[in-house]
Amino acid sequence: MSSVPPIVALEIGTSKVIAVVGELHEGGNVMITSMGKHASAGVRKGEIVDLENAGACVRTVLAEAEEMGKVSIRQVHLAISGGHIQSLVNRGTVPVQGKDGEITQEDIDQVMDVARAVNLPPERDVMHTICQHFCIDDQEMVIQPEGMEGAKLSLDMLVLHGVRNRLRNTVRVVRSVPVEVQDVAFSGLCSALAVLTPEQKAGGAVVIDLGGGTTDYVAYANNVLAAAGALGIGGDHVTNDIALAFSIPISQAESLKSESGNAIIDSSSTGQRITLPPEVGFPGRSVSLRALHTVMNTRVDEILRMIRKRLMTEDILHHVGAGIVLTGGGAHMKGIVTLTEKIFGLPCSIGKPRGISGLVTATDGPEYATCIGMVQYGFKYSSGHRGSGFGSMFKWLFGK
Amino acid sequence: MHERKVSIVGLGGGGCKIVDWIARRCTGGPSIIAISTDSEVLSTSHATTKLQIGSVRTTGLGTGGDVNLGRLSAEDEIEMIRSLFEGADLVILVVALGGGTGTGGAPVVLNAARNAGALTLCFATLPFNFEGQQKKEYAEEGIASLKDVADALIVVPNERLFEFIGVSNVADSFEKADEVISDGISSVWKLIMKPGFINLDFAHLQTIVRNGGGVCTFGYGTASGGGRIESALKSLLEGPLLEKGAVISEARSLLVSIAGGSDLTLKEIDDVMKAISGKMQKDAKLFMGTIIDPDFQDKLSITVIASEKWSSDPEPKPVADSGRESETAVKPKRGRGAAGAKDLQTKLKLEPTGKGRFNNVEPTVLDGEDFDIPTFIRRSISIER
Repeated sequence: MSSVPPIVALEIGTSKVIAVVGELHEGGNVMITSMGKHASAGVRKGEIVDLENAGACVRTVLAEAEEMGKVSIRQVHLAISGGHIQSLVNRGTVPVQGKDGEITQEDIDQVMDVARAVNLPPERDVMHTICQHFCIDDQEMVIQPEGMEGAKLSLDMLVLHGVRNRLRNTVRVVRSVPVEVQDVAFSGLCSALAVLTPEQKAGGAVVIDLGGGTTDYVAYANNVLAAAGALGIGGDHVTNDIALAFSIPISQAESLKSESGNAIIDSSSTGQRITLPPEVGFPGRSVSLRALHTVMNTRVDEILRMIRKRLMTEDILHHVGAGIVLTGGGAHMKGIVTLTEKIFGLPCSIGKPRGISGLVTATDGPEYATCIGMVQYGFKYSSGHRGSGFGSMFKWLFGK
Repeated sequence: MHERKVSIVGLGGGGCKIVDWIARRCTGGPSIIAISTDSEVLSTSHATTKLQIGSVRTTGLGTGGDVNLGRLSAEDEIEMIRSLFEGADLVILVVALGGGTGTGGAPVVLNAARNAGALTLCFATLPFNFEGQQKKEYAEEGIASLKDVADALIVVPNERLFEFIGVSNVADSFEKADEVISDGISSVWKLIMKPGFINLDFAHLQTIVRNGGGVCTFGYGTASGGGRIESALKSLLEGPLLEKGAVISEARSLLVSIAGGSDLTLKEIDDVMKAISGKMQKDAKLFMGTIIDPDFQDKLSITVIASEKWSSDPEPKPVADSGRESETAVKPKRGRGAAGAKDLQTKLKLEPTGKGRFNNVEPTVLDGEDFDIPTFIRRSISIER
């Protein structure tokens, strides 16, 4: 047994609630010892719409994880998403106070405080503040300024923020279980932590987490987190489009999507039809395979282009050499890699959680990346390392 | 003459049941379409085409009497419904007013049919009194909205079928009511579409309807064997459908159709017309036609469509002089064609677009676009269904 207590990561997704229990082993390896998973209720587009039902799901999932790992869960690390989560870069500048213009740790601490002090609309709160680059006088892209010389020190800080009430509602669900929330993090950030290699971060990479209700994205460029955010559009929209296009129930649309779906339209589907057998409340019918792929393609294409547009306006895509990594349940969609490569003009792969052991087979899929990343985040940043790294604002935000 | 294409459409539970009767009897006749929100209704239907609407909104369980839900369910499928009517010359919509799908969806379906270029005739039944006041109110509102969109509207109050049905159990009552109405509908369809030696067409029907201020009712009598004329006339003129002949004596215009086999004689036609014109007002307009149908061998049926004044209706317009009549008769009540299509286009934009499960959640609006609406709809990409 390691000396550090295990971390329980919880993600209340739009389609699934997942909990993962991980232990820290020597060498920083994380071992997954237990997990729970259940279909979600009371969540739309990553946000809570029904506290009671969502709470019941969380209870079921945690009980499952407790049962499997023979552990008692009292506190969790919570991954949060939602279309309201956005990022901005805030630059803070201070005059160097040290003797002979030598930059000291004090100067660095001070510039961090200034860079973190961002003005947000009153209904918004900071989720994370992440250091990007320092700048000494006119010298940009400084990574470690301590000991260097200059008159003024600036710092670019990526600030992730979201609507306070919505963030709090997710925390509220967990507290109603009742379980304590130890820390919260943006789920896209967690996914990126789980799947990206150091080489990918250095070379520049975009992680796109294709969730049920939201699509999260996190972009690394020049070894720092360059942009992050979420769209309130996800796999549910794909399913809904299919249901509306063919006038079929959501459940039928869901199985059509997962069994016969494709994000690209290829010639092999021409003229083919899929028969949907009748079932209770549904008379049965057949749909054109090509039409199904067209419906899915238009939606997924639109989501990906939306992310591309956002990254373009921030001039990030030119710095993404290592390509796109897809995670989340949507990464299972047939044709998604080809479509992503076509839209971004960059290599694309499916991200799998790395640097873990234990229940690897059970947690191998891209849909577990968020929770596994959250466990890694917990071990890395929640145990007293505030001020560096991802600087979660949770304690400040939610009180304890 | 070009073979005219007729679609008989049953909408909602009641409407579907009636067209089911027709479907079982007139094989090889018109195309029969059943549209419902309730998948159970469709699964037992004999219609040639079945369309389930509002499956996303109602999960296939029907509307539960919610008229608004019925309307929205139909609006969601407007394109699909319109495609059903592609190439149809006449769409006969059969609807039992008072229910959710029928009452709410009927104007939408009629509009779709008009937009596809078809003439529309709507048969609407009114609920029995024992079905409750609310259903009755829904039905009255339904008539008001149908009057505006149907080229011809024929209303059959179920209450009038009571005596026709006689004393029987509830299941049989509904069954019998459906049978009577389906007979009436088939005879109207045949009247317009099948050749007889005295032809009537849709323009005549419209004239009757216009003179009635937009609403008509129908009477029906049938008999076979010896003395069939007497029996058929008796059930027609003394039956409840025309209020024991009272409707005829008050009607401003009448359309009489006599259907028989090849054994139908001129004498019989003369007898029928004499009996009816003896009852009607001297200045009322009368149209008549005959149908020769091999199915009617040794049988005779009389169908009367009469303009009727409804309490909520304005004074029926005086009958125009015959010269103008023939001119206006071929013109439908409202502008159609280009103007009609334009009408619907602007209307569609104002109506809420189908968002399915995202209907009641906060929309995802990015760059001024509502992303909850399916992409293929926003980009106007046509989907083969």
